[in-house]
Amino acid sequence: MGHLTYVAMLVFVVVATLPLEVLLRTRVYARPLRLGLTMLCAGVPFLVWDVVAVEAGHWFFDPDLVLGLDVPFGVASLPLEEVLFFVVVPLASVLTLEAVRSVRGWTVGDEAGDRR
Amino acid sequence: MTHTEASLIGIAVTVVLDLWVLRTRLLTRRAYWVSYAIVLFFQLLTNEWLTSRGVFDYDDDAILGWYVGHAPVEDFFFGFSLVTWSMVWWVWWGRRGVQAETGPGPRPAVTGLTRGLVTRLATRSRRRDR
Repeated sequence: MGHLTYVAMLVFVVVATLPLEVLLRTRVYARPLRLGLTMLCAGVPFLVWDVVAVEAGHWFFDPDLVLGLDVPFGVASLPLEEVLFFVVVPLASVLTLEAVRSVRGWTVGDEAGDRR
Repeated sequence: MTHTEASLIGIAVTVVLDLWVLRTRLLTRRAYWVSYAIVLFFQLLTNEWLTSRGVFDYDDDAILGWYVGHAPVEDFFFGFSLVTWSMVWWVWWGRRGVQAETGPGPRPAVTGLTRGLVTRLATRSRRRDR
């Protein structure tokens, strides 16, 4: 897969979770504001962690297995795929939670009586 | 700080965030743990794809050296935190009333299909019991 190795995994996750929205009517893509806020609140802190960890040398990327589009963040830059990881994983997580709720009918704590 | 220490602190922060800061208390709910188990299964697959090919690699001094397949155990600590933060914030924004309406449930075709399967399996096992 060469340079497509990392991006292929991201595409797999997006494609594999897409049927949940259609078949189980998770209504995650249908609620873009809530999804976007979730991605910001969950994704940004972990993106910062990632940048700091790369700068500290905790981990590093193989330039032959990514597209080669680096996103600069001051002290370190990350491959584009690594930035998109923090979009794709929150998306897949929320879709899974909503899918479980849709199928089982279990509550997650945002139902009418719990709202503030 | 090593990645091991950072990822363990990450877990602690995640628990505090859910139980006491945002009070979403997702960690006490069955829906959360079943969802996390499903995500974990797919993390095992996708992370193995990435780590076995060496898309990223770790400084040996930053990790314990305990692996699940090719993935260091710290990856699962990091993953737990990221996945939990995602679900917690989704629920939190819903509680604040941001696009909080719940979905209508599975499509009737899907419900019918699963119900049909369940009925068929139940009938079959009853027949076997006789």
